[in-house]
Amino acid sequence: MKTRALGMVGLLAVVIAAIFGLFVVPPDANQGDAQRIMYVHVASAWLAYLSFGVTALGGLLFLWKRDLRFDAVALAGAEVGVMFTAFAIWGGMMWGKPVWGTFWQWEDPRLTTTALLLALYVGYLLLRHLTDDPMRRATRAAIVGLVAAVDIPIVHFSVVWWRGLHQTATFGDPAKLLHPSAPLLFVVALMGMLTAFTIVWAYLMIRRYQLARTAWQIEEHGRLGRISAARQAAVRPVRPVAEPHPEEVGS
Amino acid sequence: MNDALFVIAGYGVILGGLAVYAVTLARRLRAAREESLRIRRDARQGSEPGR
Amino acid sequence: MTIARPAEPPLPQRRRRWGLIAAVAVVLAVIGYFAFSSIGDALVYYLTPTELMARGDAAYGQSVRLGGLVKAGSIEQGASADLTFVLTDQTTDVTVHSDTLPPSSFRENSGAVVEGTLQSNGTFQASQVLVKHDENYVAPSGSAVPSHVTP
Repeated sequence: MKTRALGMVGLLAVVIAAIFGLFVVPPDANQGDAQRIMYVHVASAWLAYLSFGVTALGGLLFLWKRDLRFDAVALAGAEVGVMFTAFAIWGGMMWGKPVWGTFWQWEDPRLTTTALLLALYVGYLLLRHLTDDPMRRATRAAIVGLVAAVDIPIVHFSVVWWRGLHQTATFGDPAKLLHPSAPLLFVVALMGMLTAFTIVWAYLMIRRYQLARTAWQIEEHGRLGRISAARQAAVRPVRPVAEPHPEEVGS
Repeated sequence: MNDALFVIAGYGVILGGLAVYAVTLARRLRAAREESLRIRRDARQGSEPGR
Repeated sequence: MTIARPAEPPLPQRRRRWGLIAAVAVVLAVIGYFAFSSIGDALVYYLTPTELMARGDAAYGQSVRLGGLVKAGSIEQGASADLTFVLTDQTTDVTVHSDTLPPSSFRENSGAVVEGTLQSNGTFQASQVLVKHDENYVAPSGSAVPSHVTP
């Protein structure tokens, strides 16, 4: 119930932030209306980082405590993070075409490392299908999740370390952001969208975690069922011969 | 202007995608919970006559 | 005959663990290679005018990306899609000519990245003009700003 309320608050916040970013805030003097995409683009990228950070942390805690609940948290982060990475890339393309003059540039370090980030976590999700053993699956996923997390700081600092088309981080220099020349409405619009997306993210993470736990319970039950069935099959020959097999007679 | 189309495409896919994911997730969760409940009920009924 | 030797099971598991560690090491090595090879010259997204000119005769006819600032007052836009401007890194200037229209955000004193080749006459023939903007967003001056916003 509380989770549903969180989802409702998130929905409301996103609607308000979108109206604010689309209609209230003036367009950028140089880029025009296309700059409005920045609000959803940056918010998506931020939540992609956060999701994959949670995946790494969940993996680390799983390896330490051997508790499958941490693996469920890591899985939630990976799936939600893949979605937000795809959104960040899509928003970036829709912003890049009118402003840069191109949808995509393969040699740009920010774009290439982000594409790698998406590929790594799609790989993480695929890898989870390789084995039915929950502990082994969680262990492998945790290691891959930790290795893939190396790309998170590479993506973030790619605009500082290497030359590219992509501008440096919006929040890279707080002094610049809080400078009087930075329009306050832009800052408010971005902070609003970041907050709204983060609330929605928390809601989705909780729901995805619940799904992972429920799926695990179903999986576990199937395993127990197979074990008890095997045990019964092994016991059956010892039973008295006079008793007919109930499975064959009934239904 | 032409820019508006990109803004609509950007916001539309991202916000629409979020909504679709949220709805799909809720549906997956409901299906899983029903399945889990059904299995537990079946297990209780299945084991009772034997004991 | 049916008695399993107790020493048998742990061995494959240990071997599998080493396989896993090896796989992780390979992935890390590949990531590391990509990360550090691009610090070098192998994956530079664009050259500055000074770097291009430093190549001397080798620069001519080579397909490269050139990045810099659009020099103030240098933009000459002819009929429909005939654009000439000067790209500078404050040390070296390169005159760029393009037959394709740049995006509407193209301005003097803003960053640009052009893709093309340096001709023997010293001008750079660009097949694509991209605008590299920075992260400073500016509210439009004049009536477009809501009255309650102080510039």
